[in-house]
Amino acid sequence: MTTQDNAANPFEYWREMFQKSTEAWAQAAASQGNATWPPFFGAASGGTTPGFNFPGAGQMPGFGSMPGDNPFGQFAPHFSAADFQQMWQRFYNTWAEQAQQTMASGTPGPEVFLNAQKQWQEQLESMAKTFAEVMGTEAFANMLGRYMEQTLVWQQRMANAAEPQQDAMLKSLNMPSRGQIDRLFERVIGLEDRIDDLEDENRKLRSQVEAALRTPPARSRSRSTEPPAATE
Amino acid sequence: MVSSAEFASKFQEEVNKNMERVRAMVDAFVVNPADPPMALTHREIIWKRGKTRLYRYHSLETPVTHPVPYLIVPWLGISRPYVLDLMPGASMIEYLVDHGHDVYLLDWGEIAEEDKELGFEEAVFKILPRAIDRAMETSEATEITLNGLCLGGTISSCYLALNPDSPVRNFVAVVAPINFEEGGLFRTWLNDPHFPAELIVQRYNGLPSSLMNTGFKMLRPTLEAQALSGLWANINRPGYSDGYKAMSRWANDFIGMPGRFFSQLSQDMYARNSLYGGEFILNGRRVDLSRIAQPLLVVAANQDFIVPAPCARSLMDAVSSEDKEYVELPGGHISVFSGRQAHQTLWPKIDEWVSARAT
Repeated sequence: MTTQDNAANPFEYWREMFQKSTEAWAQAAASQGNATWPPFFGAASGGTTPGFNFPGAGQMPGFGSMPGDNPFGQFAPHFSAADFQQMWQRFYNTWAEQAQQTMASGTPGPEVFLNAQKQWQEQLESMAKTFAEVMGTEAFANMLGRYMEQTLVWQQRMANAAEPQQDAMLKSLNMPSRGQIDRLFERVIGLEDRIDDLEDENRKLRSQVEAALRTPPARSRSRSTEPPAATE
Repeated sequence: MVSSAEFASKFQEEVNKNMERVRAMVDAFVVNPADPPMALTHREIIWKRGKTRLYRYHSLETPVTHPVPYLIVPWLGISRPYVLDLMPGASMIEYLVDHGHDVYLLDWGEIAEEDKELGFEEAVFKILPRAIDRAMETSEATEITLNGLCLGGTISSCYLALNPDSPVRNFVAVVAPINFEEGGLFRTWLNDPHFPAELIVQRYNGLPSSLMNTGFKMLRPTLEAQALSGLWANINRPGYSDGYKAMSRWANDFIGMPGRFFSQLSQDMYARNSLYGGEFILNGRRVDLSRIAQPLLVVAANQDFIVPAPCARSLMDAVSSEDKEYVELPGGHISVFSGRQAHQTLWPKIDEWVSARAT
C-alpha cells in the first residue's frame, strides 16, 4: 500500500509512517554503531559507556574510572544518570558526616539547625566549585561538543526520515507544512522590515524638507552648475 | 556551658522558627501560589519594527528632570527584559524614572525560528539607530545616554564604534561581554572545535530556549539548590517569597536566540574573540572599539560566572574615552542590576554618574 493510497485511511497511514520511522531509526543506529546514540544513553546498555578522563577525576566524588570497552576514547562521558546519583549521594553523605561530627565533637549547642544550614550552604558552594572545575576543562568541552554534535546529527537523520512523511500527511489533510509556514513568516518579516525601511526613509526626507523650509531662502541660487556670473 | 534547661528552651525556639518557615512556605506556595504582579511601571510603545518594541516609561508622580533621555538596550534573545522592571521597589526602571530620568527600553521581542536572519548587522545598523532617533524625537532631545546590558552592551559597543558621530552623549555598559577570552565556561565550551554551532542553527534556525536553559543551568548546577536554601533561610522576611517567585519565574522564562546572531556570537565572539581583537566585520566595516570616545561607565559583578568581571572590564582598555570609570560591584550577573542590593549599589551609581554628565 502506498502513501497516497493511505491518505484516506489515517490509521493505516500512521502505521506506515511509524514503521518507516522505526526502520530509519534502526538504520541510523546500525550504520554508525553505538556512536549514533547520544552518549548519555550508554548507561542503560550494561556499563559499556566509556570513561571521561580529566585531571583529578579520580579524586572527584562519582567521577572514578569505569571498566569496560571505550569506543569513544578518553573524551566520551561516563557520568550516566546513575553516576550523577552516586555523586549527589556522596555529597549528601559528606554533609551528613560533617553534621554528625559536629554533634559528636562536644556539647551540641542550641544553634544546631543554624550550623546544619550553614554547612549545607558551604557544601553547595563547594559543589558549585567542583562542577565549575570539571566543566571548565577542555576535555569536558570536547565531550560536550561531541555529544551535541552526535545528538544533532542523529536528530537530523530522524527528521530527514520523518519529515517527508509528515509533509505528505499534512498535504493530504490540505494543511501547510512547517517549512511552508516558516517561509510565510519569513516573507511577512521581510515585508515588515521593508515597510519600516520605507517609513524611515520617509521620516528622513520629511525632516530634510522641514529643515529646508525653516531655513531662510539662500541668495539667488543658480540652477546651473556654473558659477554665478560676475556683476560687473 | 549551656545548661540543659537553656538548651531545651533554645532548641524549642529553633524548632518553632522552622515550623514558622514551614507555615510561610505553605502560605506562599500552596495557599497563594500566584506570582506577584510584575512589570508595573507605566509605559507606552513609541516605535515597533517586527517584534522589536521601543517603550517609554513614565512616573505618575515624578516629572522628568534630566534633559538627556536614557535608553536601555538589553540582551538579544536568551530571556525577557521584564527583569528590569520586576516588581515595585525592585525595579531598575522604576528607580530611574522616580529619579527624574526619561527612560526608554528597547525590547527585542520574543525571538523564534522565523527570526533566524536577525544578526548583529540588523541590530547595529537598523534597529538601534532607529530606536535612538525615535527616543530623541519623542523627548525632543539632541543627545541620549545609552545603557547596554549584557549582550546589549556588546551590540551598543559595536554601534558606537561604527558611528563615532552618533548622538550618544554617555555610554553605560553593565556586565557587557567584550573580551571573550575571559568569557568563563561559555568560552571554554564554545571555543571547542567540536561545538556544533552551525548544526544547531541548521537544525533549529537559532538557539532554542530549551538549549539556552540547559546551557545556563550547566553553568551553575547548584544555583537552584542555593536559591532554595536562601528561600528557606529568609522565607519569614516580608516580601521575600514574592521576590523569589518573581525572580524564579523570570529565571526559567527563556527565549531563543536568532540563528545569525548565535552564529556570530559563538564563532566570531566566543571562539575567535574578534570584537576585542579588532577583527569583527559588520557589513564590510571593521568594528574598532577604540573609536568609542563617549564618557563611559563600565560595571562588572564580582561573582558573575556568565560574564566574568575581566571580560566586561576590558572595554575600559579598548576605548579612547578620556572620561571613563570602572566599578566592580558585589553580586552575580543578574543580581548586580536586579537584586535587592542593586537598590543600594548600581542604581544610585548610575543615577549619580549620569546626572553629573547631563548638563
